[in-house]
Amino acid sequence: MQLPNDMSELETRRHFLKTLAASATAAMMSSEPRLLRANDAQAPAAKADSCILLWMGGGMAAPDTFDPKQYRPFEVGTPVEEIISTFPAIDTVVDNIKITEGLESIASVMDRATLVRSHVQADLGNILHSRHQYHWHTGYVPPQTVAAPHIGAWMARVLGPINPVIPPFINIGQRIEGNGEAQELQAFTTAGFLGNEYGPFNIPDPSQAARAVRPPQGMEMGRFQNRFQAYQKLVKESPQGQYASDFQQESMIRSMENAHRLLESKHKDAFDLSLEPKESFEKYDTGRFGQGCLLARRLVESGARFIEVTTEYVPFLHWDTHENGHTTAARMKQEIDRPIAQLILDLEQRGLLDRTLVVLASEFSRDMIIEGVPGSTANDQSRAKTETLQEMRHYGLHRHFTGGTSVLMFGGGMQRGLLYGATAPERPCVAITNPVTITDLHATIFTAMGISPKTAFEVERRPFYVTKDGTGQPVLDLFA
Amino acid sequence: MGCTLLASILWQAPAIAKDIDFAHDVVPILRQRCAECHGGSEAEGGFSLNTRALLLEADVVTPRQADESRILELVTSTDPDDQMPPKDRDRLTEKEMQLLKQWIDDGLPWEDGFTFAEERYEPPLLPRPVELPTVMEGRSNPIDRIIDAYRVEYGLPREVPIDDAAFMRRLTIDLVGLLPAPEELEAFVADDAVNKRQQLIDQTLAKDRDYAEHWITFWSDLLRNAYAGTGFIDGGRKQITGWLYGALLTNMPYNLFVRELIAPSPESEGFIKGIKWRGNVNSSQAPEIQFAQSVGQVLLGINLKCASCHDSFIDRWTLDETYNLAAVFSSKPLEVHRCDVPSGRFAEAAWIFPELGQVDKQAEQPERLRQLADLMTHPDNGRLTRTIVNRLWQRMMGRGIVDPVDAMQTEPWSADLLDYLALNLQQHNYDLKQTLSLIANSHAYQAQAVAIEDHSSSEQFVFQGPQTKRMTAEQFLDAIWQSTRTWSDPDGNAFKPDGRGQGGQLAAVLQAEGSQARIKTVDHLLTGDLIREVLQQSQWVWSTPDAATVAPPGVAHFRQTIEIPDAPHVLIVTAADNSAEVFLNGHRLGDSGAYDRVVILEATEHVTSGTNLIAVRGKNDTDQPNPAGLLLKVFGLSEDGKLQWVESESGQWVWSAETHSGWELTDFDASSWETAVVLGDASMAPWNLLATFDDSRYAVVHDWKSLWGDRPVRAALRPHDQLQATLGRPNREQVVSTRPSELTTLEAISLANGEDVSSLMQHAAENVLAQNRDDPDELINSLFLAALARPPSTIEHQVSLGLLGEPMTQDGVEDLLWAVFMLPEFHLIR
Repeated sequence: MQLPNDMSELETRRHFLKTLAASATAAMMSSEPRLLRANDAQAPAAKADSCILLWMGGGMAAPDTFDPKQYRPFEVGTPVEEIISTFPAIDTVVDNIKITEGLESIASVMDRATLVRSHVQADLGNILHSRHQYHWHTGYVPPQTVAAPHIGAWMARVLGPINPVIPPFINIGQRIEGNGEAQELQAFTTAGFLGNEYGPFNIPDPSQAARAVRPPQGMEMGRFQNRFQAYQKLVKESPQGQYASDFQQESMIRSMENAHRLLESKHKDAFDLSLEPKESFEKYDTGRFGQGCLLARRLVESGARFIEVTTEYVPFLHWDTHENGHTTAARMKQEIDRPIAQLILDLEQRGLLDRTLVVLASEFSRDMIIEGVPGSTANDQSRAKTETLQEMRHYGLHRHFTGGTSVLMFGGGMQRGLLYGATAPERPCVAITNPVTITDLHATIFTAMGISPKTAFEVERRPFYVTKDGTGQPVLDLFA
Repeated sequence: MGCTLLASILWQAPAIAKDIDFAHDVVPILRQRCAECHGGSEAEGGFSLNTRALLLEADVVTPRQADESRILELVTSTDPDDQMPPKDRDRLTEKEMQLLKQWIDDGLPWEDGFTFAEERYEPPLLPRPVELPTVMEGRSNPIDRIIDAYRVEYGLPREVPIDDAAFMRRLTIDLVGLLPAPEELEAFVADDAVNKRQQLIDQTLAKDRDYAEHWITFWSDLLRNAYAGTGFIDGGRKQITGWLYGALLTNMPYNLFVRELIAPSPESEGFIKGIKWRGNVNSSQAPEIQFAQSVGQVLLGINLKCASCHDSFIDRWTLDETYNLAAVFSSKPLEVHRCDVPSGRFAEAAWIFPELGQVDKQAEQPERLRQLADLMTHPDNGRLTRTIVNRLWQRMMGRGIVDPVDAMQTEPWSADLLDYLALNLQQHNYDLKQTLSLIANSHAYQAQAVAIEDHSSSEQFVFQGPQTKRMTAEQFLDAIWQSTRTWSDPDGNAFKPDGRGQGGQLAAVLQAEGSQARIKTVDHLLTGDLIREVLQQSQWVWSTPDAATVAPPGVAHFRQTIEIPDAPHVLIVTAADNSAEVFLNGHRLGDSGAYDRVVILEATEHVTSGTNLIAVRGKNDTDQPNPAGLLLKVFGLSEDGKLQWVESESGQWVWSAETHSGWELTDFDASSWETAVVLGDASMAPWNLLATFDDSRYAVVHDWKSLWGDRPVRAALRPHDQLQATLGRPNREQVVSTRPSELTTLEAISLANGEDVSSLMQHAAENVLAQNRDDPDELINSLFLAALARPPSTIEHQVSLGLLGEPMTQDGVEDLLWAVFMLPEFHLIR
């Protein structure tokens, strides 16, 4: 699909750096998806260059984090329907915003934040986390006839890398092996039809990130370079070279050169957490997630385009509280609170916050009673079913709730100290003002990054849009 | 009057917030309201809206000025002489008028290339006999006859033939996914038989197992067959690995293959079942619609994905046609949904080429599927055969006769060639290997690859020769493993599917090969009566005398040293309360997990003549003391299935509750173990095994792992791991007909520093050095021959020597192997 005469061609503010793209000819191949259109005269001017997604995998309970409700402490015999929040509310530096105990550091930077309390997810019936995560990360509900790209892959494809030697889409903290939903997780952690070139550069363990960009273990840099030089000589000598016009051969050689450029470049130091001053490292070090935040900061400083840092989704672990939810949430908050606040302060101090959009989100919220949304046919998946609290294990939000979720955004041209949307004060705590769907939230994120929500590629002769069917509308009130 | 009224409503209407979507918003209005008289070949009043240019030419619209556009005036007019559509037709709805207005105000966006004109090319349905052009210069292969004439017509030069070595490498990678071994390569090059290429083609295609292990990649991509994947978690998916492998192994005729996919047995039903994730699914992705989409795309090269939501804007397929095809499979009434909104209409089972006949919509689902299979494989369905021969041509030649291969509505560059191959397949009993052989034997295939300079799709494609193909992840890894003998062990799940039906692919392969293996024999020889006879001579044992009423919870290890006589088949029958894991001479045979069903374990392989050790880890799975028992008997069968002997109580069971390291091994000292207790015979309570036993209560557990032995596991039969994923193996959630043709930077990073690759190079270097420690020249020579099917040039030899070091080091060999395997010349199939 081509825009007629008077409508503009794709206007991204940033130049698409071809260095990491395999080859210009590739884009012309008939099998390659073709960019169709991207225009938005009325859209707010994009301020963000980079995006960090802080992913609370497993369903972070809003009433126990960023949307405090009536608090009931643990007490044997309390009927469970009386419990909405299991943490008391605390003040933040913004007058009209309260969050929950355990998030004191984030409370202290709330004046830099836009807090959306009315994010809603689709009711997909019986709940499978990875299916909602797929929906959140791609904007499309699986299964799909065309492999849907992760939002990071869209950014890599449309905007390209900022620094040509830093992969534009970096995915930190999710281990796949042994995960009961490994296949489902992999199904959306991908560039889909956009092609592997725009797929994630995976760093499952942030403390080992440096290894991902070093020569193989046990190989000195000298040997690594020598091996590559010999390879280049052999390429030159290969009779294959008679077909120098062969685009496959050329792109192969170029990719190999790109890889070595990264692996031999000084920018790879950004991946090495051991180079961070001890004092600074400790500010972040609450564990893998905290280290992931630190790595994200280092990478943004070096010119990364999109980074996801996850608390890691593992069925029944972390935010996926099917029992003992209060205790687990307390531990999770300890893990995320300090590093997120520090990330914001560090970005600000380096003058990067305005051009870095930080988004904290989760596939849905949680509730003590309701599974899915009121009226949903979803099966109850709580593992601590009880009428009244008997033991600590019963205390917490053990059901998946899709009716109202909190999203926290910082920087990147979003407002500061803004509270947007609300959920009902009493159960069911569904979004009652300004509901924001995944499609519109994505439109907001893409718009902040300078990508029109209507951007599309043609694949199998059909348009495939960056937001669902091109329908995403940015939430303009969130923009500063 | 009325005109003014309507216009004022339009002005007052709230602006539609979202931008106009030409394909979804505008096309349906124009098609339904206008195109019948002003589209396609119709242009009443001299007005056609087939294209944007025509529309502008007619001067009825002014982009961005809807209120000044004549077309809007006409559709809003209530003047019977003026209004459009004419007075005898329905008016546009208010919403439709608003959309048109917005469309004009948005500047009349139009999809590039979209037209209401009829498709220029409509692919034929019927097979077509092709009159072959005259043989030129003795080039009698029908493909060459057609292409020689084509070259004359287009003024193209003859192809440049490739040499024997390049031919052999290309052929074996293409047909069986493996490199030629250096000694085979040398023998082939040295052979002076005139028809040696033909012989090589025949020999290669006759390697049934290699062929099946290679083509399972292609078919699994198309049929979405995965050993693990999305949907399995909730039983929303089923493998067809065993069926598919068997079909390839026996070169099942393609019409039969298609029949078994559409009207399946339990072994092949995974394809039409599709993939279902937990929870509700958009109606365009319901399993029934997936059925229509997959059958359309895979078997006919028809894209029904657009027409799963609405009538297609890009070809002739309609929403109803898709739903009606889906209804053939649906076991319940299927309501038509347009863009996920129910229409109130219900689909009627029908297939998409009624010219050939129709399914009976009243029939039950299995019968409808059989009828659909009949229609699909109808001798007059030329689209089935054209689609598959085009896919095979694309695999062999790098580009389809119709391309992309899933868009069979596209005009072929040679209809004669496509139609010839399609009919030829049909006339040769749908023998796919015959088609491959025909292609491989042509000069067209045995030609130097042409350089690809321009991929611009705007120009008409002209065939000039085969195109270079990139190896798939599977071909690439197999080639490295094969040339350095670094095949790795089968993965843990390969012999036994998990509770979700994932894994077990190698067991499925062995089962499919059953006709050649011992296993099927054993399955056939065993009968319920025979097992009953053995059970009648068997006893329950456990650690303590009152175990049939109460036994302590937990594990009990048992050992027995017994004499086992010779027999063609030595088997063990066993049952357990609650479970038992059985070892013979230290080899794990399998386990049994029920007291009312018996398991037959194969022991033949691991029996030593004379004394043998049976070891069993028994388990009483409970918190409370309750009954526990183990029943186990060794017996021998003759070749023809006669019970030769049942092991007499030659030994005595001893037991221990503790787990000692090596407790199941023959050299373990069990002298301190206590004597176990014989509780009673197989009829005893509480188990009453003999009384309840019938033919449904036994199962044979084959020792797949030992049957597999040290046979290499090809990449295609390995799980979808990170490295293969990086190299382009899809996760098989979608139908995939072509793999990525280029190496990306992320892949290059994995190849340059990934641990999988570097440990593979280490292992490979060890193997290479073990073969040859002293002769770097020979090492370099054989590496180039094995990997590239040619010796190194002098300069290549020097560069290689530089890497190897003096004397050769492990590091040096690793680096040379890496450098050679990363060469584009290695990755590409020329």
